[in-house]
Amino acid sequence: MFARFKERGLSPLFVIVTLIIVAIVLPSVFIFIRLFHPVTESWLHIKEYVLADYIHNSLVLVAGVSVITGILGTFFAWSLSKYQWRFGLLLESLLFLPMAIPPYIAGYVYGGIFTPFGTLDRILNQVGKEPIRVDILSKGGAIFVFSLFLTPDVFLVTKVFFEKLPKNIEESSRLLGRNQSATFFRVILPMSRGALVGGIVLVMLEVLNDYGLVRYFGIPTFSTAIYQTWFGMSDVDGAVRLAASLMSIVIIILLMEQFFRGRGRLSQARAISDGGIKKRASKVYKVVFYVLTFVYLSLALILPITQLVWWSSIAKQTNVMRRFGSILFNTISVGVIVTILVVVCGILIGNLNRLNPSILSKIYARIVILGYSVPASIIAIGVLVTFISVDRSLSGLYGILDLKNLFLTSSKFILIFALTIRFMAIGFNSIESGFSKMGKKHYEASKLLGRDEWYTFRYVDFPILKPAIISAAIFAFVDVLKELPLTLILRPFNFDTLATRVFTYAGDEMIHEASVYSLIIIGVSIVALILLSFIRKGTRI
Amino acid sequence: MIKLINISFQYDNASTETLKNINLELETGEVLAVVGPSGGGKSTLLRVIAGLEKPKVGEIFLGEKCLCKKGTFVNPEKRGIGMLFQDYALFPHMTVAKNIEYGLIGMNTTERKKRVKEVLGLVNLVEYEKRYPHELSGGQQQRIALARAIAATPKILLLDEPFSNLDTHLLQSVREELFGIIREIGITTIMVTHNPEDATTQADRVIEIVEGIASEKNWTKNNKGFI
Amino acid sequence: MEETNEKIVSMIIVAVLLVSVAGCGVEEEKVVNIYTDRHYDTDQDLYDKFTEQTGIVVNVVKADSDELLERLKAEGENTEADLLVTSDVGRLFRAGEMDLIKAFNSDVVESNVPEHLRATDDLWTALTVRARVITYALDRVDPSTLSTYEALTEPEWEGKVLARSSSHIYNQSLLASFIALNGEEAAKEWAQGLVANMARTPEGNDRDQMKAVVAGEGDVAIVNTYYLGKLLNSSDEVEVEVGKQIGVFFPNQETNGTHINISGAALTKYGTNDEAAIELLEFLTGSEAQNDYASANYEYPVNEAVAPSDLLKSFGELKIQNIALSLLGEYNDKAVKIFNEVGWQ
Repeated sequence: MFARFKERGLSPLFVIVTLIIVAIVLPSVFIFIRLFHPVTESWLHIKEYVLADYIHNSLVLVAGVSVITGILGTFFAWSLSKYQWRFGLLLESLLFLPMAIPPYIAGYVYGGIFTPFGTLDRILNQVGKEPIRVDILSKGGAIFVFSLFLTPDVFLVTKVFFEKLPKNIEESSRLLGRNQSATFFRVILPMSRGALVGGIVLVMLEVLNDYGLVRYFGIPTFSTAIYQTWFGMSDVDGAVRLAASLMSIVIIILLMEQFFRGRGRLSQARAISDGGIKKRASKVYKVVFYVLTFVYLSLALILPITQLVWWSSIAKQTNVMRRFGSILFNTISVGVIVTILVVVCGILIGNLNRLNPSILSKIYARIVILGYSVPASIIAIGVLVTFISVDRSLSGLYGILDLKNLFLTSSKFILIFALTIRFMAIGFNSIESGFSKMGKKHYEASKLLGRDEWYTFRYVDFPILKPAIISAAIFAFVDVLKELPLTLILRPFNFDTLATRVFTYAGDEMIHEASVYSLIIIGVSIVALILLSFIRKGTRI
Repeated sequence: MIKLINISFQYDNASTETLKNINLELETGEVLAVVGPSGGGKSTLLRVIAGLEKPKVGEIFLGEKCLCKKGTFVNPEKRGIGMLFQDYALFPHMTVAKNIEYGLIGMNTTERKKRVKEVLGLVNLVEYEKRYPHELSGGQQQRIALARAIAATPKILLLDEPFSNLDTHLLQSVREELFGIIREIGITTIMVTHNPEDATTQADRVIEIVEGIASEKNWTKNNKGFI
Repeated sequence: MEETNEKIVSMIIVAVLLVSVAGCGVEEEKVVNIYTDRHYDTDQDLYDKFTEQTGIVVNVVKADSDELLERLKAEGENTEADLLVTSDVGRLFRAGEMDLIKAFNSDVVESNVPEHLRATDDLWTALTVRARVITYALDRVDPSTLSTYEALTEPEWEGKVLARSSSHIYNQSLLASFIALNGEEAAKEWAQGLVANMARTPEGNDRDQMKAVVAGEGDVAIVNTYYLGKLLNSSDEVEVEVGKQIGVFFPNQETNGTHINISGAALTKYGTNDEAAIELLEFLTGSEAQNDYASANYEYPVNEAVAPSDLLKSFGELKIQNIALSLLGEYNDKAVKIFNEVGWQ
């Protein structure tokens, strides 16, 4: 293998991607090293008393949420990409939006609706009915809330895939005597397994790493164990050990998925694009689709936004909007920069994987997920330790340049770096599925027509990839908007974002004030979505 | 015109060579058909000539120019070779005109427009300039792909299974038409096909590749014999 | 169309990059840098006031305390932070154990803050005090039936007690105080007894516990006093109504006192602006700031010259646990383990 590399020479692309991968891996290395520290007493305690329960809870949540988001997300994606609907475009944009509501805020919202003296009680009281007790702060409730607000993750990834799926595959199955649903389940679904699994993996990781919602709901999970070891027993090594084992499990699952997928890989489908001609749905299908969409949007969008608006309206006005301009600027500038970095890195890695597929490039593609596979606070520490050691080794240079000691660590750069490696997985997921559908043929045709790599990328690859890139950008941007743990711990002095404002209020049980900023996050996401769909209109595929 | 000397090729993940010691020489304007069972290495041969794959050993010359030998490798975009892909690989986001203009490097706008008109005339699709590929039929797409491949006047044209996507009743007329154009411009052509009839009716010479080994066949109607 | 879009996008990108780079100017001025896990807007008001009076600029990073400790530890002697503020004494104790803080040595602070609310070696000082008490449904519970935390484990309270999850530091500190006062065995028995009497598995925050009491899901709830203050002063009328139906009972007044926790501050070991940091400490423990703390956030002031808010006064006089506050930090991990062992989620 190495001989071949030597023979080919190291391409610049390979070198750049390798550097990116090293940057992603480095903080994780600092985490994994701690695996080899001696086993601590608190680890033994956790293992003896609570670990089994916590893992059980985690698994129940992950399983429930995966199934529900998988079904809902795929259903919406398939329906919207293959059938005609009234207001189809509007519905499509609306279905992304629940993504902008962080699950832990949604937890407060649904808590606020169903708790005693909550919104439901008040409404029932108004109409003179007895209060109904729904225990939303339970495992079932957590699955419900997670599912509602994570469905867009699956929807977005699978939709990009379905849109590019050649029509003839579906048609040939129909001609072979399979009806619509058999075609979907026996042909389309197995073909889209990669995209579907990609989306669901994101959902799983999101659920596994959540601490805010499960804490409020009182459901101890694996991440509770991590934080309990760290915060409760001040045993950082133990916490890191738990996080590292979580990371290992995630990596094993991903590698297994990759391995099984490898065999049945979608051969380069002959995508004679059908120009997105959409079919008419049957009556029954129509009813099912409209009812489901309506119910989903009510629960995941209308209801929470109404609740948030109402809460905001009774927020105490005192200091809520202090320094709003700089907060908004911080949020958006960091969001834009991180989104660009995520997209650029995703394209580079995906492109390497497409052009020079090798075992190494496949491993690279999986490593990208590292940053997303452990709770963010742990990653934050890895990044912190990495940066401080870089800063220390550069201290001589800083002396010459008259910079302060921890120049990088105390700048926005560390935050941007950490957010980029954290959300790389999310962006890369969409971009990779875009690349794998696109294949190499247009690239080769362009080269044979005498164009170099850069021209080819700019005028052929990029336009064809645009939908995938846009969905990657949506993911990354909205996620940065609502990101908390990394921003909290790595931010420079006096640096606030919309999400940190939500956190400071919500953590202090000031949900009314927190609502104001939650709504602003949703508002900014809507603006971003509109901007991106505007850009998307420029593409005609 | 084109000369392959001792070309061997092996894929990264394969245990044996896909092409074994291939030697081949073509005169200007000659049409060569490459036949053989699928998986035998026909398409790989085209990809090696195009520069999309790098041979393990061997040399390739196009005219006087060396495309490939030990220590030298000319990238595909520098070779001046036209290729008609099996599934055409038209760029879905560009109009027919843009697709054809794509390979016309170093021409000004008027020249480019003129050349587009010319090649569209050649394939009889002048009025389709503004269409997108998905708005065309399979046969039309193929002719556009051909127009694109020959627009920049390559020295040699490679055809990868050019008729596999066409309905049988169309096959003959399309084939006639395609080779009418090829003969008209007199371009040196290598065509990979699984259909012996393509070879016998249109080619000057035929080689068969089986398990990576090439052998010349004496099949053609207008057989000019061995060189 | 497409071209214009691209131009706009690239212009936005360039603009964003430029502006974010431009924001990095450095100026020489007197500053104090704070790592804090107190997130109240009122704290920011106090810092602003301090800047106004002294000209010293206050820079703040807000995050959870354990993460701040990790950050301090990782930064080591290169840290920029001068002052560490936490809303739990356990974290200050831990910072001391990790050798991240140093004594402040200020006569002013010593005279502002009584001895039992400072570390013995002046390693940290309290800024405010909060009490963890028993609240009850005014319509159902006769306060004379309430006496101590321990009494809540009696059979008569079966299915009537509400408390939030043990992952919260307030519960951990409460149990740690029992370990300090009564020993590990007794503390474990208490936790076990309380779990047995719970009306439901712990969920929600302190406000939710009180709402559940009024809704009749349980009769009593263990909460911090200032959350009741927040209910009573909520901008939501229904919450105010709920607050009015809640009574406050200070437990263990006849025995070893009610549990308190503090929020406090300490100088970081490698901070470089000690003078400014001490000045800020003196300001925060002084009567003006203490008045603001007391009125804004329903916490008890630490400066004895300052009276608590009217609301806190209406709850009555308070006898507190007589233990060194640092013990709450010392026994924190034992408390967590006991919670795990007895299954307090």
